Parts: sequence; C-alpha cells; structure tokens
Amino acid sequence: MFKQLIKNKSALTSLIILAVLYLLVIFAPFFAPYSYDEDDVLYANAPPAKIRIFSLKNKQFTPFVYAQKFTINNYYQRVYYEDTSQIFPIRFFHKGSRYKFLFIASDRHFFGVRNGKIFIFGADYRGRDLFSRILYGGRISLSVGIIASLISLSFGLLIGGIAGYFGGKIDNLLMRFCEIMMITPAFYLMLALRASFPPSIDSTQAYFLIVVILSFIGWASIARIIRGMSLSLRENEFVYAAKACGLNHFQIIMRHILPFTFSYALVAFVLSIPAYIGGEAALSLLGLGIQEPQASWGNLLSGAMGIVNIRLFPWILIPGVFILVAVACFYILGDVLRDALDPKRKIL
Amino acid sequence: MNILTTHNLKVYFSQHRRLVKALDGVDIFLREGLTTALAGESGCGKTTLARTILGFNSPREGNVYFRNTDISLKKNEALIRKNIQIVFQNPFLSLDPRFTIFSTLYEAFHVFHDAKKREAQSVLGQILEEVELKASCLSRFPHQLSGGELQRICIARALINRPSLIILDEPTSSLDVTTASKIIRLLAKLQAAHGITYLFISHNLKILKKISQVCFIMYAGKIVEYGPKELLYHNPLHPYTRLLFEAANHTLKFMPQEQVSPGACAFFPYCKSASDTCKDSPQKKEVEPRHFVYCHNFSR
Repeated sequence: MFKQLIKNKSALTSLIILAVLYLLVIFAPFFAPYSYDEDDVLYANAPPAKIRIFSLKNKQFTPFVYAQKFTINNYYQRVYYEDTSQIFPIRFFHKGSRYKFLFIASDRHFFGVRNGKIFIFGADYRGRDLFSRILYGGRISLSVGIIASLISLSFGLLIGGIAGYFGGKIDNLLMRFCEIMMITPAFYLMLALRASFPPSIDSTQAYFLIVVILSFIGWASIARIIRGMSLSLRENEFVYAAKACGLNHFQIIMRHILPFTFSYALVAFVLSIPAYIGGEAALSLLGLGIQEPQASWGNLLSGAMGIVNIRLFPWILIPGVFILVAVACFYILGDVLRDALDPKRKIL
Repeated sequence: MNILTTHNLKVYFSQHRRLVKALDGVDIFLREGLTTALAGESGCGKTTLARTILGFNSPREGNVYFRNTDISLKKNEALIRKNIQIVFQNPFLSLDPRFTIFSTLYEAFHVFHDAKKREAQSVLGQILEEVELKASCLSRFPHQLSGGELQRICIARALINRPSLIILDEPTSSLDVTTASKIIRLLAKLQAAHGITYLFISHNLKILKKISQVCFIMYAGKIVEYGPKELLYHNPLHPYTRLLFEAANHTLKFMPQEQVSPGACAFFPYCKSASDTCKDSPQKKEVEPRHFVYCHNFSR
C-alpha cells in the first residue's frame, strides 16, 4: 500500500508537501521568526519584504532585506517603501525572542534579522508577522482536521459496527438517527451547535469545541457504510465460531468485524480531513472559532473579508493558499489511497 | 440418557413477506456419548436446527433442553457456550484470516481460562497434538494451512474448553475423500477418549452410516423418520427416506421443498404412495422397536 503511494507521483508530491507543512507547523516556534502575538504598530499592514540575494553597493553578499519605512499619503494611509540605505542581513539560527517548545526553552529561530524586522509574507493590521501567524495557525488548522476525523471515524466505526452486527431494532434506530444527521445541512448544523455554547470562550475551549462540533458532523455517513459492511461480515462463519466460543459482542465487533473495514476506514479518514480543515476555517472565518490573538488559517483569512483590504493588502490572502494546498494534498492522497486499496483494481 | 432434547421446536423466517418455516415442530434427542446423525437435503433446516441449539436463532415456539435445563432461555446462554461447540462446513471461512492459529485458539481458551499467553502455549500445543497436528502450527496463519489441517484446527477450537456436545455441521463436505475419512477417524478417536456427544449433520449418507449410532431424517423443517442406524439403513420406512437412499446410489430428481397447507404431510406433493389422509398431519408411529416414522402409510 505504501509502495503504491510512493510510486504515484502526485501522491508522493502531496505526501512531501504535507510532511513539510506538518514539520513547519509542529516546530513553529523555531521556524517562525516571531511569536504569533508579537506586534509592532510601526509595521501595521507592511507588505511582504523582498528578499535580496546580494548588493554590490552595500557590499552585501548574503541574502538580506531593506528596512521598511512608510510615508503618509493624502488619504492618511501608510505607503511603505524600502529604505535602501539600511540593510538587514538574514541570519540563520538567529537569537530572537524566547519560546518554550515541549520541554525545551530556547531563543534560536530558523531565521531572523538583527535590529529590525523581517516580514516575508507581510504583516497584518497590528504589525504582526503573517508568516509566523500562519505557522502558529497551522498548528490548529492542521491538527483539528486529524483529531476531528479520528473522533468521527471511531464514532462512525462504533455506531456502524453495532448497528450492522446486531441488526433489527437497534440497527433501525441508529440508522434513522444517522439519516437525521445526514439530511441536516452540515454548515447549519455546525452553526447551530456553535450557537448552543457561549459566544466568548478562550482559545483552548474553542479548539476543543471546534473539534467536537466538526467530528459530530461526519460520523453519520461513515457509520452508514460501516454498518453495511458489518452487516455482511457478521454472516462469516468465523464470527459464528467466535460467538459459539463464548466471546461477547463487544469483543466480536472489535476483533472480527471492524478490522475488516480498515481499508475503507483509512480512506474515509484521509478524505474527511480536508473537509474538517475547511469546516474549521469556515467557523473561524465567521469569528465563531479560534479567537484573536490566537491564529488559525480560518481567522487569519477573516482579515480578507472586505474587498478594500484585499485591494490594499493582497498578501492577507496567503493563509487561503495554505488551506488550498493542504486540502488539495489530502484529497489527492485519499484518492490514490482509495485506488491502492480497492481490491478490484489490483493491476496497473 | 439424553444430553439434549428439543421439544416442538419452531423457527420461522420472514422472507419477502412470506413466512418460511425453517423448523416446524422438531423433536430430537441426543444420547450422551453417542453420535447422532441428522440427514436431509439442502435447505431442509439442518443448519437452522444447529444454530437454534447454539442460540443464534431464537425459536418462535418450543424449547431446547440441555440436561433438563432450558437453554432456549437467554439467561442460560453461558451453559451453551461452556458445553456445546460447533464445527462448520468450510474450514477456510470459519477461521479469521487475520489471526494466527495461536490467537484463534487462545481467544477461545481465554473465555473460560484466565491464562496468560505464555501459560496457554503448552495447553494449546497439547490440543493440537490431540488433533494430530504439530505444535509449530500455532504460529501459522490460516492461509498457510491445507483444508484438512484447518478443519483439525476448528475441531481443536471446539475441543479446547472440553464441551460435552459438539455439533458437526457437515465437517467433511468441503474436503476430499481421503482427508474426510481421516477427519472421521479423528472424530471417532476423540469421542472414545473424551466421551463427547456428536450431532453429525450431513447429507452424505455413507459417512453417516460409518460414524453414527442414531439417525434422524429431516424434510422441509420436520423430522420424518428416526431410529437406530442399523434399523433405519436396513429398512427405511418413510417414502422420502427411501428416495434419499435411492438418490445416494442413483440420481436425485429435482424436488423443490414447497410450503404445503398447514397440517399436511410436508412430503405429500411428491409422495408416490400419498392418499387423501396425507392432508392431515402424520402422527409418530413406532414401526419396529425404537424405529419411528411420521407417515400415514404406517399409522393407518
């Protein structure tokens, strides 16, 4: 299975991209030059800094950026320009602000500049580095998908397994409940669930709330399919043999029924992650998810809601690109995985 | 002494709004320590009877008594699990392909014995030796073994908690003739060693003749004839039994098992010697000592 993934070029590419993304995001404090809430009013809405390779004039032969200064125009808006007299060489493994990662406290950052600021993706309205915020936000956006997907998958497996295994009234009851979940439009369900909790909660609570809300949406469709599988799996003679041996229902479901749905579950898992990433983004975009100053890709995009902002500061759309890339990668991966695990398409 | 008796056992299934009477008032008894044969064509309810005894189907009417305890009640299920085991027809399907032989056997062993895996190793090895397999099979997966070996594993699994009754649901039907006869010999040996009672379900009359002592003939969810093997094989009474024995030697005519009007003899539509009285339910009749038949030709 893994070999087939590696063989497929698009799958390999998305696997690598995702690996890089997760690496960046997990080690965000190290890769980000600043922390997610470090602001500087002097750089409000500063555009992405242009990284120069060398400058003969300043006798600078390592990558560097010019200092960003601004003037006020007739509309009382800041207009940033590069001050070519002042250069900040990019320093790798630069000593910057202190952070704690797991149990290691450090002040080394992957890159940074001394005595100035570097915004490779620009800054937001409070002068916070967008790149740093994207990395920190990715921690939420990329983990929410996996965790919510895991929860909804285990929920779906359990409900589907029980419904299919027992059949009859239990099956009927559980499946009607699933159908009710499925016919409710997912987005409204999400909003309704969110509305049932207090509007202002702190970020950790919001995070768990989002995970729960998201995982509440997807389990029904998984459960339906697992139910169908377990309905046919329970007629296997080894299931009857296990019953005759005196194993209880739970053991039989866990050991002799659900493991056979593994390949489907794996595909469903990978394919549902992007939907949850999108769901989190949508909630946060509406201000119902992760709250400022905490970042997530969704609430970073909320700055891009006004057309004026997009015209003046187009770089605030960059988090959207990250969402797009991550979602696309997961879909490609899931698609290839499905083909790889499809028993009817072994050849090729 | 009867180890298991069923009384007026009825199991109905609804299929496409039609009621299918899989078992329609079945009375059987199993003598302790002996092999009882249950013969009949496919779809006559043999397997349903086995599954009902094991508690997989709940009867609509009637009871199953194991040593005078009603095991058709849910509360007595533990008694079934401890005392009654089953070996299925297809050994390839009756073992979980993802489990090694050790895990399969240990799983069954663990239900009644709180033993650690390491402690169980020797017990499981002994069980395998009992069914004439090497203990090295424990680390194998089902797909690495042959059909005969797998059926021995299934027998070992059935044997592991020392049940007093094993239901053999066509255990040799998916095996070749030589392997089948080896399995039959093994089963006879185990019976002699442990005094286990067998309910041997098969449509192979030759094998049944070899292994059984008491014979039941089933047709369309009903017992039509039963008695000691010698009497029944020597002198089959019921028209259906005769046809079955003829079919074993020649070719069987196609005979769908139809639902007849309630109360009538199930074999009535195909019976050569049927008369108007056959529209009533036939009563049990002891034609010779211990040899019973449900047929109007004899109860007249």
